[in-house]
Amino acid sequence: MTTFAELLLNGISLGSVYALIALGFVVIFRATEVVNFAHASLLLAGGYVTAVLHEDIGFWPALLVGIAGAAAVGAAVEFLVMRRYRGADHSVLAIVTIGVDILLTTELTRRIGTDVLALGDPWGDAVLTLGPISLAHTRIAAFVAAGLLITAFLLVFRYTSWGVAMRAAAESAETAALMGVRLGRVSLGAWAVAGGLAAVAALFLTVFPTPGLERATSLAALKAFPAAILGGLDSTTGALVGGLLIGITESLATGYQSDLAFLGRGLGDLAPYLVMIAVLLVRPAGLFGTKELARV
Amino acid sequence: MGGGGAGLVVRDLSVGYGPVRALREVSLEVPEGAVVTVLGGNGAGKSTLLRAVSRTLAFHGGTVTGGTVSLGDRRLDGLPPDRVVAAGVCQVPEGRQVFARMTVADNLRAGTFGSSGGRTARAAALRRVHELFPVLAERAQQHAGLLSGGEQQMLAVGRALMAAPKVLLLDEPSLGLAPLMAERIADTVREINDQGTSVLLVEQNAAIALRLADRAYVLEVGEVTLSGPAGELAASDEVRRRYLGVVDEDAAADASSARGTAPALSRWEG
Repeated sequence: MTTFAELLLNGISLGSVYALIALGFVVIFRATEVVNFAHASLLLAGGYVTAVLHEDIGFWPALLVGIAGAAAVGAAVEFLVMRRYRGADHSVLAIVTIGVDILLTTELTRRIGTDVLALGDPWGDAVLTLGPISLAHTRIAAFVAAGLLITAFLLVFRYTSWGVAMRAAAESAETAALMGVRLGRVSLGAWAVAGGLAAVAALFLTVFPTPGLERATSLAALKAFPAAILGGLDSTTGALVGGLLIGITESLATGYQSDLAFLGRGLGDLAPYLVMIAVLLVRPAGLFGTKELARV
Repeated sequence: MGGGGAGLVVRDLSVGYGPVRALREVSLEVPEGAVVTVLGGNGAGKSTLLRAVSRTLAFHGGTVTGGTVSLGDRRLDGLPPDRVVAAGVCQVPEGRQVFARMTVADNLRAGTFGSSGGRTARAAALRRVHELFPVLAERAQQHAGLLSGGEQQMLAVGRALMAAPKVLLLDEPSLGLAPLMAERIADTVREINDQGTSVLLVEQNAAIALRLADRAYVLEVGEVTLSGPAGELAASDEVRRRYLGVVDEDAAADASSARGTAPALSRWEG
């Protein structure tokens, strides 16, 4: 039972980090209807900047620069690449993001090489023990930070002009343009926000108990993809629920691996995709994906 | 014409969708404070004309191949859509196109992005919209997708008015509405115009459009074939026959004599 509670809490924490990444997917998808396969490379870029700078300027400034850097990379991708294809089919754009991802990831893995970079976080490997349950400080920090960021994001999305413009553009780009919404800005903002969120996620994907930032970090980031899809690609709520579901699934599947030995190893890595497929079989639009809400 | 004020002037406008020419050298004018209507059947190029003015042709793969659009002495062609709105020309799209997943209040808020005015201008615009359409104030927190067709049309018009435009472009506002609701929308268009907004109205319902308008243009296969004061056009045989569904006496006489002299028809009458 103790193990279960521990695994569950770890799963929730991990899930909230996945939710951050999935939120980035959703933001870009809603603003531009493009599935952004380059998301993992944005995350890697944010993590890399933080890792390189933290020794010189300290962890917190480095993290801020990392977030700003990933946001800038996101904005640059939008401005230099995606904008040139405006008006092209969305599936074409999705494939363009695959190209961008390959370029960015190749360059970053070349720089990282075989190293495992520390991000210099202040939590180290400290563990909080509550009775029988022990929980790494990093996991608590991840949960708190992700929770705060997601809340802030949802409030902004709900109440600010940027949020209204974004939602309007998500429903109908043409009508939004007719109302004077600047689509270019909306899309630029979406890519920047997604980059910033990814950089925060990069931090929590690489701290204890993970050894640090390495090539494979971008693979871990890809697990947010099933999270976004099973939640419904156009739903912010879906991203949160999907993220948590994937996090908990992964944590439990890894934790109880020994009991499930007949299924072979590596179930933890596989489980998110199994959950995604199972959900999509029942609800093809994802848990919270839009079913048309309109009177004709 | 129109005192040269801030009228909307379209000159020799040609538009193509790829190799397909949709408009050929169309010229028209919306003088300040006037209601001008453009009549025409499906595919005549009415919506294309509005898209060319609001600069949203690109969403449909269209391009302006010639001619100019200007508001007063300001050229609108070449601007991005948001700058056209900021210049004072706002379009209510065909089929309403309210943001169904957003609340009525947020829909109206979305209408303010193109507005050049500040907070007080926006508050004044909202008051005006709520006065014109009290139902929008009552349903402020409801999702727009759940409004009735007529209410959605009101919301679409109200949303465009939030930018406090000098010229309002209306694309088929009576489309799909019950006759009573179409009349109500027409009354509102009159009221909006009385408050000083010029209106360019594209309609298939020519009876309503000609009653509202000061001036009318008839568009056929991308070209202006008739234009003049709305009253004159409404009285002209061609417009009556083709767009008002009125058969004048001569034509009726022709028809009845034709019936008399066409024996083949008797089979069907018997």
